[in-house]
Amino acid sequence: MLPEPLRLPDALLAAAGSVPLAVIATALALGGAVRLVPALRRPSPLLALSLAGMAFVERSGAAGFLLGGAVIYAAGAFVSRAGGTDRAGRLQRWRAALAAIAVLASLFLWRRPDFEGQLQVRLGGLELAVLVLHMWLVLRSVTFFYELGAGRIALPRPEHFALWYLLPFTLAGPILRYSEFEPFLRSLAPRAGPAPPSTGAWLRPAARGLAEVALAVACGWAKAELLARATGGWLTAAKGLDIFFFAPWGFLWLLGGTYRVMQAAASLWALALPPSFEAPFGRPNLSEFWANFNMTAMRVFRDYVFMARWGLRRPNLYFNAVLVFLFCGAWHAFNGYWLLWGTLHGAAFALYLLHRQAPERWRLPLFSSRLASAAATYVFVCLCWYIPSKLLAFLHS
Amino acid sequence: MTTPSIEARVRQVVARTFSLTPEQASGALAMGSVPSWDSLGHMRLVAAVEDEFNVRLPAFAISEVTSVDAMVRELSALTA
Repeated sequence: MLPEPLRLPDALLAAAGSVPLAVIATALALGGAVRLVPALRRPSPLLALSLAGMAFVERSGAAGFLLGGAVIYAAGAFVSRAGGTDRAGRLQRWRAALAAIAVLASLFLWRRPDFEGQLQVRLGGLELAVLVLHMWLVLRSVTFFYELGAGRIALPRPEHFALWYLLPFTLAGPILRYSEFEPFLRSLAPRAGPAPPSTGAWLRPAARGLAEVALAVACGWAKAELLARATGGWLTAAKGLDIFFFAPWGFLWLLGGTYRVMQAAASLWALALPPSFEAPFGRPNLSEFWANFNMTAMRVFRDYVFMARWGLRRPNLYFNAVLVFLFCGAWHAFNGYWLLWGTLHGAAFALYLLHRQAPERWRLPLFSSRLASAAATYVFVCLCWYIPSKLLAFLHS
Repeated sequence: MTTPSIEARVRQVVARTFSLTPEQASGALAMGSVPSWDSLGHMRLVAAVEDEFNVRLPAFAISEVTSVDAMVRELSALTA
């Protein structure tokens, strides 16, 4: 117990609790180890490091994490053997991939707690998770099946798949598709690799990412203090500040900062992670917002749902826009809040598409100003995080 | 059909779909390099390319053909 003057406020500790410290520390430590000892930059040592990193992050879920990977690899092997190289064979493999994705997604939505380590066995006094396939792993597995089915990648060797699956920089997102990982794999020569990045090249983004994470913690702390102390009209103002500043910016800084650190740490292995957030707030419409917000995840929904064959024509563009956001919401959690969130965003996106395709004279003057449309987009996005919970509370009251 | 003639026709379709001048439709063109070539624009382009070449791109290829080069490669394979 620290003496009173040195004790950190409970609200600050609670805000700091949302930071994935183990993931950040593991990524930086393992990235740094390879920079300090370049001989480690070979498949086997990297796999061993990744395995150790995953075990540190997952702890009692480590065995379940490995089992999850084994199941995905086995299903991938089934997909890759489902067809041949001719047109009919490609189609057959594609259908097998879709079946694997459908089974995985359905099981995940139906039995999510079991996928997230709640199904446990007791072994020698230890509670061990039987299966760990959380939301980021499920989405990453979907990309694996999709790319196998599309013929974009061949079934990798088990140790290469394991390295991709266990990478310490993507354990809790962002998404790195296997096809994006392959160039890194090819660069792992037995003895020599590319020169390590300069200190500035990785330190600057890492420091910026950590600063963003610190800002997110400060946001959470300030929000808790403000809401606890404000009364009357000030409480309403504090709630408004939460909806339009603390909540959106806190989330952006927490996730964006963490992923920036992941990118910096991965660069120490000479592994390029795709960007995740590129100044999403201030974008003039929902299309641009979502093209720059949590990009690696949104690209999966965009590419695999919106852009696929049924995107434009079956049943129609607007319904499919709603479907994309419903899928995205369900991926977060299959509950009323996220389904409402998906419906709101989908409906608004469909309206945006209608507006965009309308003749010039029918377009709203608001959206002819970039500033006004950016403000409207920002307000709408913030409200979409807030309205579902209020609506559900109202319905349950 | 030769690859250069496929490329020329793809560029014509890109220019028509996104209202580009022939100069703008030359060089390396990809999703994001033209303001209206976003996710919706891409689907309009795919539909226009399918009409132009009277083919149907496989569903799994649609998210891959996000550049003129990739589109030409896929069409070459389809029309071979």
